[in-house]
Amino acid sequence: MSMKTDSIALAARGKVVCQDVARHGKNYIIVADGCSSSPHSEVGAMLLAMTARNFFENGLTPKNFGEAVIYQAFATSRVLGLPDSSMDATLIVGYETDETFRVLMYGDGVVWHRTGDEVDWPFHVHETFGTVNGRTASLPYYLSYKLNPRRSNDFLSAKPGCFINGKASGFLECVEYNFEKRGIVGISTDGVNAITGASSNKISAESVLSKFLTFPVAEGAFLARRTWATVNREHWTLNDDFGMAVAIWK
Amino acid sequence: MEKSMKLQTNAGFGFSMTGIQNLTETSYTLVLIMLDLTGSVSGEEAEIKRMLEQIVADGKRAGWGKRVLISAMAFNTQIGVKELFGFDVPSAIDLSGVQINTTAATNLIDAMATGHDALEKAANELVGADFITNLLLIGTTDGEDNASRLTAQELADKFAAARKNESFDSFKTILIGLRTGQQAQDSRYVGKTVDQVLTDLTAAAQFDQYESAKQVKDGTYGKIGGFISQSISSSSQSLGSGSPSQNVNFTV
Repeated sequence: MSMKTDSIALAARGKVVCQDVARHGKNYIIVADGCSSSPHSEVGAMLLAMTARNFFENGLTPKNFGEAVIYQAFATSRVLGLPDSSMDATLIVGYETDETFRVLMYGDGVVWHRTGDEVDWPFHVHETFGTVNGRTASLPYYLSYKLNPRRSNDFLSAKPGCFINGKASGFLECVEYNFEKRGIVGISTDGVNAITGASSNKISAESVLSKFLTFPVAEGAFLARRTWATVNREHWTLNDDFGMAVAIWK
Repeated sequence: MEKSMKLQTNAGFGFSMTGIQNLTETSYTLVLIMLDLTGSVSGEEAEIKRMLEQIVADGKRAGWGKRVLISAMAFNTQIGVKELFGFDVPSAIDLSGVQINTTAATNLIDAMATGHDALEKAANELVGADFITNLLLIGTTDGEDNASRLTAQELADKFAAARKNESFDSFKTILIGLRTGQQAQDSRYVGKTVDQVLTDLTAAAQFDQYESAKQVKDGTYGKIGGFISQSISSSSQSLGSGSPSQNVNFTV
């Protein structure tokens, strides 16, 4: 079986700058999602994605992948004179190993693997939370916290945790999956949960994926075409930036 | 996987289009240029080829060239309809092997019907693979139809069906007449100029736009090439809007 990959990133309706980035190559997929409240995080998301891409293109998958990416991307951001917080971005990557297709998630988003045998879509929805000003709030972990001890301490003092498919767990800097190399593996930013239909009704992530991921022809920009065609045909609205990448085995 | 794919209309006409795997954009304007290569344009072969080269070169230079697939086909009663080059992005079109040979009589309506069928078939391939697609069919002729089996009404019916097809973003047709100041030769059109005959055909077959050059002089083909390029550009700009493009003005 041969593996095909594709990716797409789209800005939310009315937004001028898209803070989501999606990339793909022969044996890898990447999405990154810049933090909306951190200035220039669209550049940081791009730097993280392009740095990860550079590793994959050179056949490098260091053991501490996220750490290797953030320090190299940070060095580039310093050359550009960007603030540290510009690197506040979720990074999700997937790449082919000898035995598996490995996904590493730093931050929040959605991962799924569908072999074709399942009835339902098997999701791994990641949300991260913490206690901010006495209240539980969304608090994604960013690799950029490694760059600054004060920000890292602030993050840890908020007692961060993860929800995986709605189930609370302790804080995980990186969640790793190793999937069988068949069917389809996808990664997405949290924009997949912010799509509404023609009547402003929320479209479930399951419905989004079942529409987006039924490829009549898995050649060329197959995910991008499917996404555009579906959004136009169904009159859907993206209420958040959206980034998705898939690997498919045929 | 092969670079291009072979397609066939329901009537059995064969033509080609670049493979889906070569297409990097999500939406394309499909353009088919049907060229009258009958005996009456004999001596103008080099200019016709230069016109095609100009259109392709414009596509290579301009932004619209990335989202356009162009094909050209020749027609006359000897060959029926023959592909000169298959649907592809301008940057991949090689005209070096294209031969422009002129002979025989004018099967304009039949040829436009075949062109329509080919364009529709190619568009269905793209739509089936999730591309957003609009269609532009352009025909050039230097005389009245004198050898078709189909009627203008039958051609109009094909055009109407394509316009109604919601799978396509839009469908537009343009007829370009050359040497239209001369008298029509066919006995059915006694007393009419070619311009009058083609104007009648435009109405009967429901072409969206008709333009004409009463004479063919130095530079006429260059101006037609420029007009076709601008029309393609306009269609490309309207892609995704769900409406046909604005007509481009034509002056010779």
